[in-house]
Amino acid sequence: MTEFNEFEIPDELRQFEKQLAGLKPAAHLIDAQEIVFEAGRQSVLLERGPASSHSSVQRLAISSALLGAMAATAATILLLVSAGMLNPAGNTTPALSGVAEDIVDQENGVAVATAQADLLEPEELPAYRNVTSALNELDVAEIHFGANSRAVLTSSGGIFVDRVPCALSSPSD
Amino acid sequence: MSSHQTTGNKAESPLQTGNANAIARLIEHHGSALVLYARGLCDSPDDVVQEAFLKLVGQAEMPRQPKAWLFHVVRNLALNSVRSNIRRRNREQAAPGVRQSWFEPVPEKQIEISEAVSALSNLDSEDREVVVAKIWGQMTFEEIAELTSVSAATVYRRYVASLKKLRSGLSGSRYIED
Repeated sequence: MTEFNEFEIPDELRQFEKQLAGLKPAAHLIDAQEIVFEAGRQSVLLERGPASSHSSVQRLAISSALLGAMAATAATILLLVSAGMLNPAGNTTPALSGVAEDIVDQENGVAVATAQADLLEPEELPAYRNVTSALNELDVAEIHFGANSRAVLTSSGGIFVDRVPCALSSPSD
Repeated sequence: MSSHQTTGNKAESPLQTGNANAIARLIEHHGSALVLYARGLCDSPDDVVQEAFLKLVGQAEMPRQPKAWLFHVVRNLALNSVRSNIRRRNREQAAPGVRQSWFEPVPEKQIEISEAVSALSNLDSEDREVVVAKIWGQMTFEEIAELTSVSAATVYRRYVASLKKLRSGLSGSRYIED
């Protein structure tokens, strides 16, 4: 938008104005990740539409921008446990089983999933790739954890999980 | 139609795939200025700006002018926050050391940050709002006029008068005299 000439700054103030502008506002404490995460969630819901079935969910390539690889790992486990496809007490590798148990024991699923991802050792990454690959074979792109929480599988293999705290129960219960 | 109303064009929606990056860029480019703007209006500037961005994300369509839209929403949220916050007086009497967090430290500054913050704090709220929106928000007088519901001429007069007050209040700084 062009400023009108009548709004020109007096010459005697221009230099002072420039020097004020040289002060940079302090860094903000905005949680950009949460906002971008929410943008992705809204995107999924928008693309999905109210009448879509799970199998027709468009898988959106948003995970790389929203979740780091390790967070996606934990979220994958969370999803598998919740879907009854991975039993924390079952025949899985010790680390994966331990992480899954820890997640199930907690109420705030996503926060714990993110934190617990750090527990995975590098040697567990092949297992992570396997479960991710297996998940990609499914014709299920969205799994609900209850009234307010759900996870969405994205086209790039990442998991998109609501941050709504949810009480999870072991599928073996 | 307000300049920050939505476009009606879903292709520009922030909710479309890939526009998460656009949201991230808005945060990067305007986040600090929005927080500075909110800081002059309320006690919880970061929270207010966070909420404003979440409201943007929740919009069905991208505002035509996202920056102006964000300033508008931040203003409303900040003012609502103040109305429900009886600690406002405490904020206005905050120690100068706290106020320094308004700006990033700069090694070769010509204006002392503490003096600048003090001078800004001494402005009337309406005047400070105009100065911050103009200088750090890089908004036009017309945009600020719409934001604050006064005429552009009034905004201009406030701005010039406020610059003079600030310059007078910063007499101890090493700003360059014309």
